[in-house]
Order: sequence, then C-alpha cells, then structure tokens
Amino acid sequence: MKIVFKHLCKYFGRVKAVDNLNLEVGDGEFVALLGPSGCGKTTILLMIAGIYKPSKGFIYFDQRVINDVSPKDRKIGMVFQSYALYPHMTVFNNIAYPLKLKKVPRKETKERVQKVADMMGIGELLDRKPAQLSGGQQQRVALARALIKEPEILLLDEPLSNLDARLRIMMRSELKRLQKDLGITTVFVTHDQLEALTMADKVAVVNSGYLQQFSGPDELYNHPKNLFVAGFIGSPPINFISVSLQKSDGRFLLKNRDLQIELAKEIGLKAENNSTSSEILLGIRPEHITINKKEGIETEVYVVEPLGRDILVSVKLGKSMIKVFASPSFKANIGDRVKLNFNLDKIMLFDKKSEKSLLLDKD
Amino acid sequence: MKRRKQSEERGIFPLSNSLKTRNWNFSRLQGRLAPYAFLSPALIVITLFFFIPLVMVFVLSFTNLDMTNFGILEWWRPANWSLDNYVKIFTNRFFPKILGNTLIYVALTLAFFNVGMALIIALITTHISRGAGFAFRALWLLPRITPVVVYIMMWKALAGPAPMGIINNYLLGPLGIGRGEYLLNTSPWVFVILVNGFIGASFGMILFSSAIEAIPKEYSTASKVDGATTWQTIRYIVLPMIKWPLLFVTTYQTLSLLTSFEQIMLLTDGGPGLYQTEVWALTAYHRALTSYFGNIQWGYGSAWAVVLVVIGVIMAIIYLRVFKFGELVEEPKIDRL
Amino acid sequence: MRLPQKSRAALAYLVLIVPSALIVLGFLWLFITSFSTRTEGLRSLGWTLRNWSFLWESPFGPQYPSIWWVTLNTLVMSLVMTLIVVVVSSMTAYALSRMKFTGRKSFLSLTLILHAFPSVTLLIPIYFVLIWVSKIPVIGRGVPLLGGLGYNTIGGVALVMVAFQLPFGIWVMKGFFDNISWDMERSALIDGASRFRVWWQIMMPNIKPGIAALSIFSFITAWNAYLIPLTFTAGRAGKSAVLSLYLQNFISESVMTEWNAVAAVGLFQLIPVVIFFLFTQQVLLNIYGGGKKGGV
Repeated sequence: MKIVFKHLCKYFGRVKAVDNLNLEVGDGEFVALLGPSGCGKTTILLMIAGIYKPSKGFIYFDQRVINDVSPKDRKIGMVFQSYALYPHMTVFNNIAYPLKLKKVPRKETKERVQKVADMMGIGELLDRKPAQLSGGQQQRVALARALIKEPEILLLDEPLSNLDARLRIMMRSELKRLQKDLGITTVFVTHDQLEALTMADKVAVVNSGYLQQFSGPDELYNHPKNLFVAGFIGSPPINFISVSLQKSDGRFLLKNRDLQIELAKEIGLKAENNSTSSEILLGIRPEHITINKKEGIETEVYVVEPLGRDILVSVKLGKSMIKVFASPSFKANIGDRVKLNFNLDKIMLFDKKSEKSLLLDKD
Repeated sequence: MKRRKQSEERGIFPLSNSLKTRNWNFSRLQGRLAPYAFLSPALIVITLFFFIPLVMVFVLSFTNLDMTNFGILEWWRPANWSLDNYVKIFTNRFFPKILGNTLIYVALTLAFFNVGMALIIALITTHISRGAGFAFRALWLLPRITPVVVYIMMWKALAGPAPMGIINNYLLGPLGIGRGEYLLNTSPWVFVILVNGFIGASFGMILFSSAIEAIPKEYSTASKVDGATTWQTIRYIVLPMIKWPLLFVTTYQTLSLLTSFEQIMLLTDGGPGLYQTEVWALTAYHRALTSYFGNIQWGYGSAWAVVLVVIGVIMAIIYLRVFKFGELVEEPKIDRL
Repeated sequence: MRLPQKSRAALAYLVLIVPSALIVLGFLWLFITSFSTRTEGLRSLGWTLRNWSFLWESPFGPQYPSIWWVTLNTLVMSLVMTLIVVVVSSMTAYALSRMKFTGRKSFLSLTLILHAFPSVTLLIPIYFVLIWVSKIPVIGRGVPLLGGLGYNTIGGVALVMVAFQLPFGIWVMKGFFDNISWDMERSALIDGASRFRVWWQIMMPNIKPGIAALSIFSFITAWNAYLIPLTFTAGRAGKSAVLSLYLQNFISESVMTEWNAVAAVGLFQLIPVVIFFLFTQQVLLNIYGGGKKGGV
C-alpha cells in the first residue's frame, strides 16, 4: 500500500512537531524517518498509526484519506521502541490478542500464532511472560504481534535502539531481509544514521518538524541538499571549512587564511550562480582527503586514533579541526607537520546564509 | 516540472474524497461519546451527593425549616428566606466560645500531631532499621483503621479514674501527679487533641516517610562527610526537600480537622461542661441532625454548616491552585479522531 | 542550652516511644478486659468468657437482630461500597488520565476540589436527598439484601459512603493510570481494541496494586463507618444496623455500661480489620504509590 502525506502538520499547543510535510512512500518500500531525537519523527509514525490526528493536511493510504479512520481499521502493525508488550499476558496471548479482538476461531488463532512465532524464532517461548524474555526476544514477540494481522503497512519505532551492539547488527540485516520477503510497506523511525542508511530503500531526514531531504542512501550521502543533512549523515562527520569564493582571470578559487583551492570551472560557475554571497562553507568527508608528508595544504597533527581497518587523524588547520582517514601504514605523531590533498570531485559547497547546497541544479 | 506533478496528484486525490470520510459514522460517534460513558456513573453520584446538596444547604440555611414545620413550610420559595439564622449564629452567647474552641482544636492538633508527630515518626522510622521502622508506622496506622467507637472506648479506658484508668495507674500515679480523677473531666482538651492527633498523624507520616525515602542517600551522606550534625542534616537537607509534602499536609489537614467532629462527638459530645469542647462542625450536626434540645433545626444547622462549606470551597480552590495545576495541564497522548 | 547529640537523640526516641506505648496499652487493655470480669489497669481480676455471650444470644432480647445479622449487614455494605468505589473511580480516573474530551480540565479541577472538600458539611441536605430516593419505587426501598438505596437502608448508606470516598478514589486511581506507558495503550488500540476493552483488558490488570490499595482502604473505611450509618439509618438496633451502631447501642442502652462486654463486641469488630491489615499493610502504605510524581 502506498502512503502519501500532503501538507501534513501537527501542533502540540504552540509547538510545531511536524510542519508541512509532503512525502510519498511507495508500495512495498522500506523507508526510514531519520532525525535527531525530538524532531517529530515519532509523531509522524503515530499519525500514520491513527494515534495522533493531523492538525492540518492529509494522509492517504493509496487513494483514500485516512485522517479520521480509527487505528484498528487501518490494517497496520506497529512495533514500539519499548515493545509495549502486555506484561500480564503470556507470549501466546500477546501475539494472539489482535486475532482475539477480531474473534478469529480458536483453532485458526493457534495455527497462525504458531506459524508467525516459528517464523520469528520464538516458537518455544509461547508460554512465558514478557518479563522472562531477553530484549531481543521481546522484540521478536512485538514483531510477531504486529505481523499476525497480516498488515499492509508496518511501522517500527526505533526498532533497534534497545538492543545491545552485537544484536543490533544482526537484527539490522534480519529486519531488512524480512521486509523484502514479506514485501510490506514499512516505515521506521531512527536517530541512528547508520541504521537508516543500511536498512532503508529511501531515507527521509527530518529536523525540527521539517523534511530536509528524501532520497536513497547513496544520494543522501554523496549529494546532501543542505548543511544539516551533510552534517547529520556520516560518521565521523563531514569536515566544514569556512572559505570565500573568489574569481580571478576566469579561475575560481576557494580561499581563507590557511588554504587555497582551485575549483573546476563548471563547479565554480554553478557555485557562483547559486550563492548569495562569496561567504561559503566547504564540506569534505574524511575519506576524501589524503594525507602525506610531501605536498599539499600545510597542517599539524592534533591526535591519531587507530580504528583497526584504518586510522583517523585529526589535524589542525588554522583554528578548525579536520578529520582525515589514513591507511594503517601511515605513521605520525602529535605535532608532526603533514600535508593534505582534497579530492576535488567529492567536495561539497554550501551557502552560509541559506545553508543550501550550491552544487545542485536549481528547481 | 514539479508543479505539474503536484497538480496531477490533486487530480488523483480529489477533495471530495476526503470530505466523504469526514462524515459522521458510528465508530466516530462512539469515540466522541466514550469518555462521557466512562464518566457518567461518577457524574450521577456527584450530582446527587455533591451538587444538589451544595445548592440545598445554601437554600436551607436561609429558612427556619425544623421538625415542627417539616412538610408545611415551603422552604424552596424565596418568600420564606431570610438571614435570621446567620444573625442568630453571630449573636449567640456561645459563638465566641465555639469559635475559640475550633481554632484551638485545629491549631494544636495540627501542630503537635498531624504535622509535628507525623514528621517525627517519619524522620525516626526512616533512619532506624527497615523492619523496626515499618513496625512503628504500622502501629501508628492502627488508630486510623480501628472502628471509631472501639477507638474512643479505648481512650476512655486510658483516661479512666484511678484504679481502672491506665494513664492514672502507670504514668501519673507513679509520678505523683493528680489525684486519680477521671481525666476526661479534668482535662478534656488534652484528650480531644490526643484522640484526633493519633488518628491524624498517620496521614502525614505516610507522605513524609515516602518523601524522605525518595531523597537520594548521597545528599545526607555528603552532608555528614561535610561534618553536619544530624539536626543540621535534617534542617538543611531533609526539610527543604520535603517542602511540598509539608505544605500539602498542613493545608489539607487543616481542612479535614476543621470539619471533623466524629471523635469529639463520641468522646465528650462537646462537654463535659456547657460547650466546653464543642467545635463548629459539631454544632452544625447537633442543631440539624440530633435532637439535642428536643428539636431538630435543619435550617439553623445548615447555616452553621454553610460557613464551613464556604471555607471549604475557598481552601479547596487555593489548594488546587497551589498544588496540582501543572499536572492537570498534561494532555493525554492519544488523539480522538 | 544545647543538649549533647546523644541526649537529643534519646529525647526524639522518647517522643516516639511514649505515645506509641499508649496505643499498645490501649489495645492490650481491650484484649484483657474482654476476657475479664473486672480489670484494674491491665490487671485482670478474674478471667471469663461471659463477655462473648453476645455471639450466641442477643443481649437486647430476641426482637432485635443478632450479631450475625448485623455482621452480615456490615459485610454486605462494605463489599458493595468497595466494589462500586473501585469500579466507578477506575472508570472515571481512566477517562481523566487518558482520554481527550471537552470539559476534561474542568472535570479534573472538580474532582480535585471535591477531594479537598469537607463532605461531612453536606450531611444535612444529603438526608433530604436520601428521603427523596426512598420515594422512587423499587430502587428506593425494594432491593433484596441491600434493602434499597434510600434512607434507612444498607444500600443508601453504602451509596453515601461511595460518594464521600469517590474523589479520593479517583485521585488515587488516576495516579496509577498516569504511570502506565502510553505505548502499551497505543499498541492495544492498533491491535483493534476499543477504549472500553483497553480499560478492562489492558489497563486494569496492570494497576492491580492500585486496585488492591483502594479496595482495602475502602473496605476498612466502610467496615468502621459510624457517622454515616448513624445519620442515615433510624434506630440503632434496627434491621439495617451495622456493627458500629450495634456497639454504640451497647454503650448507651444499659444504665450501667458493662465495659467488659462492650470491649468484647469492640474486639469482635476490630479483629477482622486487624487481620486484614496485617496481611495488606504493605499495599496500604503504598496507596499513594501511583501519584508519586505529583508529590502526593
């Protein structure tokens, strides 16, 4: 089933939790709502579920406006961050509860519960109470309860945040596989950009109630639309350097006190056309900088952090700190003079005032 | 390009579609009415036993309805209303005495027991072993859960004259105080306050001890490390942290004491001398619901009660403003569709 | 003038222990007296079981109800009152804690005001209300076991006590509802439950400590009640008498009050409460457990 938001708003008193959201989740898509905590993403999920009513705008399931449809008539399944299992019921009764409310015959209920429980790998736990289960098992019960209704839309609120690190990585791939196998339109909320990038087909980045960008993981990482998205996606985060764009003899230069970079002509032209002033921010990811001791921009090593596969070097460029990935063979000590080279194909440029990317085509 | 896409979408999802689903349907109506269905039993009870009586007590207080004219007097007609009852109250010979009694009773019981003793018990029982603390608190709950008639009977035995009375026998006798009289006759006020105080202390005790237990242990440990004495720890750490429960118990119990008279009625019934321990609420009850002087005066009794009702309403509203407003404003986190 | 630390601590203990001793002595006296012919202080001047004869023969003559009838009355009244208080306050508290509706804030303030409001001041007009209810056919005076809901019936007395207990009950229950996770309720709604089902099948099983505390508290209040039965029933030893009235009757009827016999009846009324209390004190001490957030 397709989900469409049109001019969707939700206000709590004077607080705008969601502001004018327009978004389309295609049938069978796995979509992540990504944003820092308190940005309104769970509110969006609860509006899809029918727990919150939109203050303005509409939500469509396929062609139908469902603003006023009660949760039980929406054919949705939802897994909450806290799992929200009913503590006084056994696992079996927890999973069977939606069927019990639909007055499904006993025998059929039993079969269906067993089937979904086996699929989730909790077939042996049906007689236990939720308190006797581990976090991972509780989550499977919650998933089974959401899936047993055979919903057309699956909603997951921070599905991995209550699991330990190892389990999280395992469930990440399992959830992704499950969603592909079942083909249910799925929306999940997360504050972890890695989760969003690894699992989702498309990611909607939300901040303070606004949609920042909605696109595939690759696009999001390589062509962020604005400063917020660029800064939020990626770990370690992207480096920002304040520069001014200057033009001399038809050459485009990015300059500040500590560096000078010449831009390719088409990039320079685009930036010049899109920018409102010459003050811009240069963004470059740590893996797009190479470090050596021979030639490039002069810097000084601040600290070196080995990560195993590679090492993360923090260097001081004037007043700003820049993080760079280097190969494990690179040896440097604190205070060493080193030189940086930027991969000019991968740099991003943002307008300081509007915070928008300067390298995208204008609408 | 984008603009064209938008208008296409509008065509696919026409507005009329949305209007259709906004129509009233059964489940929507059910959703709207559900809260009121949940509330209706309470509403009936509250209407019957709070709203109607509240209006009635005011109306009655302006009439001279009593046993002799019951059924004859049309008390609900404004023509029969007057302020006579209020004039009667304020010109009553015993009005100053009753007012004074009420103030003494409320102030002393509150200070010594409902707040004072409650605080002492809470402080001590939270600083001794858990078991002993619990036992003491359970013991102090006993007076509250004992049937009031039995409880008063016990106190009469405690206060009894020399050979029988327990206080005379084991406390005053050995200390050589008094001559073994019936203590309820010689010092009725002491017992009015003790009897009410022993019941009243448990309310504050429960609230204070849970508030004190909720204070993180690090605070008192830190203050001890800083060299504070126990008294200083209580004064500068504990008391400031239980400020709200203290304030709540004080105001709430003032109101309860002001209107409670059951124990006094059973213990001294306002005696032993004329109006010696008669308090305001007891007077209202005597006038209106017991044939103290062979005549039940509903109208006059109501006037006595109205004064308390007005004080009660005012204090309840103040108390609402002071204590719970923040919590009231908290909105439910599920919308009505 | 500063006392040394030790003696101040001793003084504090003294302040706790002396009054506590009074309570212990009082209950000891009650126990000893009920099995004695006479007592001096706590000393029995002769042991006997005669004080307990009210158990098998009515001390006021056969035309009056026996202690067992009175006990049944008290039990029925207490159970009915407890049941209604728990059901009605939890329904109301659920709506107030969890549902959005027009007038929610006013209703909340109203219960809060009633919680602090001295309801005893309304006894006079309530007397008239009960007389009116008596005049309604069937529910007024014709309900089996309860007698009815009007004046001079067990049901009527129970109903007034429900009213007086309700604001407190609503407040206690609301505290417990407030602490239940919203996600659980949302989850139940998505699973397809109605609000009524959510209340009954999901919420109620999860506030059992609150239900227990309120039930015990209400039951003990009703079992002990004196003023309300006294005011709203006629004749202290009539058909609708409850234990408190029966006991008070004992004290005033006889010219020479037989304290030993009275103590036995008093103990008879007290024992179930104390046993009940011993088993449930932990629960009872937590009655405000739900409302800790608000400080009260």
